[in-house]
Amino acid sequence: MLRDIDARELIPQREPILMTQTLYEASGNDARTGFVISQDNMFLEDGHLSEMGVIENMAQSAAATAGINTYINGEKPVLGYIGEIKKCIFHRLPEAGETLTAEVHYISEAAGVVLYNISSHTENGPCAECRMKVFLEK
Amino acid sequence: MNWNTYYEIKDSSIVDGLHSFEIRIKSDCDVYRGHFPGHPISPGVCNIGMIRDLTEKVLQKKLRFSSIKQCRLTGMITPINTPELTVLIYIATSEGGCSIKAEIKDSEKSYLELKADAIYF
Amino acid sequence: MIKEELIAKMNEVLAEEFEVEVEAITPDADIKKTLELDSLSLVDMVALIEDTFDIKIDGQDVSKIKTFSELYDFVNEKVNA
Repeated sequence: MLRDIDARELIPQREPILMTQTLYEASGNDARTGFVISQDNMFLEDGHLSEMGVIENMAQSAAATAGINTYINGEKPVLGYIGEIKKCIFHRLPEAGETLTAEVHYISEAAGVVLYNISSHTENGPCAECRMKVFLEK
Repeated sequence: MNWNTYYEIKDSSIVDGLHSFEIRIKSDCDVYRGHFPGHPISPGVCNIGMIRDLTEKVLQKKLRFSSIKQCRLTGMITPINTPELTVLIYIATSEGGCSIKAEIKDSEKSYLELKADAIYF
Repeated sequence: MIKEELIAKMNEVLAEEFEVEVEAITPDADIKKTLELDSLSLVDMVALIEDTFDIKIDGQDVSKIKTFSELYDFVNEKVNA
């Protein structure tokens, strides 16, 4: 089992749109990531992370999960794009200072597209859930 | 996010309830420092945010998405290769919010299709 | 599970998920054309088959399959393995 990997080792996104920080642990094709929402985050609106910020956190968490094998092989992170978002429900938009945790669950993959179920929460409760396809550039 | 830094509206029209915007993606937006270094690609979430921003302009109300039923991203938008785009938005209002169907396209192809619900905020 | 049951179940779930008439699904028909699958939606079919028959299949293998009869044979082999 892998633990506490810097997300920058897994995905090519950087500031100001690096929206996940640490892959806490990975097991099989699933993983859990963490992200402390800073006061100067580009997706903050009236002190809350916007829906777009919440989605981007889930997307980068999924891309980081998909990037584990590349990391293990000692290769540079590949570009991953959102292919599709489905059944995305927002429960609560977190505030700056909270730690956003994303749980990424692998479902299937075909033709370079990986399908995940993802949910996110902070210490103050659930934030969002969705089914997402991530397209990986090979 | 200040959406004025991300895109600008060149023209707009409405035909049979379908709102059509001609927009330009700005290449000097700060987001491209990180998405991706030396290789600017417009983030899918920014294009979803642009649709919310345009819908807010139409309704003259602040919105928040309550759910995204489906969003397919079928093409890559970049400020270099595809800066000029058409955004089509169909809005059905209901008490306290609206349903949105939108598409981002140009004469060549479709880049994004969105079905979402939003609430007034 | 006998193969006739598998075929009937497969046609039923595919028709529902991809919103086509079940009659359109014939053994020699092209899967991608019939279900209007693109590179993004192929994984939906893989996930649906895995879920329906409680099996794990390789997306690489499935992307090579052209007709429904090939798909029935492929899934039948996995289910009865």
